[in-house]
Amino acid sequence: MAVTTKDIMRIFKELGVEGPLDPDVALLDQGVDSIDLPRAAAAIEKKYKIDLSDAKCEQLKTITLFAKFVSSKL
Amino acid sequence: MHKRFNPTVSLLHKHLIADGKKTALLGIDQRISYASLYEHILRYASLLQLKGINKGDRILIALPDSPEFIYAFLGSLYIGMIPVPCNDSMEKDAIEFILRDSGATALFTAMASPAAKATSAKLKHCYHTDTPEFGILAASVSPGACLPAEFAPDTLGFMLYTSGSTGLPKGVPHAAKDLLPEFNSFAVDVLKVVPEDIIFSVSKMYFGFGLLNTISSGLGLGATIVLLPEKPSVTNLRHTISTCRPTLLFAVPAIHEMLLENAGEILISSGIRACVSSGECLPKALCTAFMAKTKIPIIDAFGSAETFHSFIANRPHDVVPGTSGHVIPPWKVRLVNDENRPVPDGQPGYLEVSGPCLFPFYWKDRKDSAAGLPSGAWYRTGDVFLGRNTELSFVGRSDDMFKSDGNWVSPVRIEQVLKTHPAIKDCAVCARVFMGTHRPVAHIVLREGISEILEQDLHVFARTRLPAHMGPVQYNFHEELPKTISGKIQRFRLKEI
Repeated sequence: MAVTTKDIMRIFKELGVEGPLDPDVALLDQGVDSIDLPRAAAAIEKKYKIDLSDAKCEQLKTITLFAKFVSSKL
Repeated sequence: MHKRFNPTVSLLHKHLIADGKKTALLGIDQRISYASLYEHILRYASLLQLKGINKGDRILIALPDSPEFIYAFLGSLYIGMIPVPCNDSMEKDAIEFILRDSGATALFTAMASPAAKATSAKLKHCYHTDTPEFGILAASVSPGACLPAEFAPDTLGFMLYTSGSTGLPKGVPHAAKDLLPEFNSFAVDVLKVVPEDIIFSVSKMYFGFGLLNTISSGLGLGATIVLLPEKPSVTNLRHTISTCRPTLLFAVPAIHEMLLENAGEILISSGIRACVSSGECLPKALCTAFMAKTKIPIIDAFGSAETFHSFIANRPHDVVPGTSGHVIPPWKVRLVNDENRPVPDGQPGYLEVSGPCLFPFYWKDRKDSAAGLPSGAWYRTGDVFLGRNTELSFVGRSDDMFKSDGNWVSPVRIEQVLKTHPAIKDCAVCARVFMGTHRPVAHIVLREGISEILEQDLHVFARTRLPAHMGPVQYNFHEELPKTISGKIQRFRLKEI
């Protein structure tokens, strides 16, 4: 099972992050703050029952990278 | 103070002479005078001496808050033994750990306690104080059969065991003189305890705080002590307060919260002149709500097993909610940074304390000499405080605090904010690594009747009340939180749940 960019975008939306988000632009440059990123990681952990504690900032930099990293954990 | 003294005699004798008929111990259905108390203490002392137990031997007391606890405690001290109070409802294994660690040769307990089945290699005598056999034995000895042992100011007198919020309990011995009222500036100068006071310590005597309130602040100053042997509940607290009508009440914050929610009208009409909260930081919201409803000052008092006494407290006439108040002379405090240098006013620092009743050493590190720390020694409590002028506020346990993106995060501050949310009954915050840095994660217990709340709602709630780096990145929901027997959160276990 792969996680899509749409799945990641839905998570951000549920966390109250206003879109639209460009999947290939750095999240921090689109108004997502440094607290929303670990919140999204934490929410994904719960949803997919995976451990993302070893995630590095560059692996979650964009929605596309985020989806790729999460997919690699499934 | 006199160079040589006996703590039991010093605590009680003057009150016995002044008015032996005065009530010393008060319960729902009992009343014991100072004269009767003293006689029972001497009987217990004679009993121990007849059994050939030696001076300096440790005597474990695993009894509920009852007259027998006090007879055993002060009876042991009368003949120079070292009483070691411990929680009578702990599991057998935990009691055996304390028996082994302390090397106790005698044990006072009740048949219903798990301690009644506890054993250890050094334990020679076990007294079950609730049995008819023990009653006959105690009645058979003469109360005048032994002489009081002499103590020097640095002779060890009693030992506390820490509650183990960070692991195994630790033995913390104290000099006998630490029990005497002349070292109890909290009771004398802050609370101004008088013989007319009726003191109810909901916190049990096996805690340093409860022992201090009862033996030193209460009996030592000739007041009347209220004893509640059972675990506190709404029912028995309401009954005890309305029957015994205490003037001073001592408890942990959770008990004050329980009383506020379920016994507000009894508190208002009870005649209580001040409540003292200790054991954990008193949340600002609880302090404010308690005083608004009851008009009774609630004082946050700070101390530890290592100091025995409270050394920081608000004053009854000048309570500032959300702060711990000011240092209590002759104790001294200072706040220092990682380099052990004083921090500037308004910045958090590690709390260090110096004073007359500091513990001499941990029991596991004991030396042949019972001499205490050098005069003027400073002890780092493991707490972080913030000082503004002379006013001190608790920030957190230094073990629990962490840095997130270079900023200090205090779990206690986050917990205090979250607890003001109407859906949250209890919560605890700890750190988790996300994306290479520590982030706060909240563990939540919802109030009865609330089955679900959106994380997003909690996030917005926290975000509008806390700096960004203190906003929890994750909320986990539980039926209950891991706590020590004294009600403190076991943060090291939060990571396991």
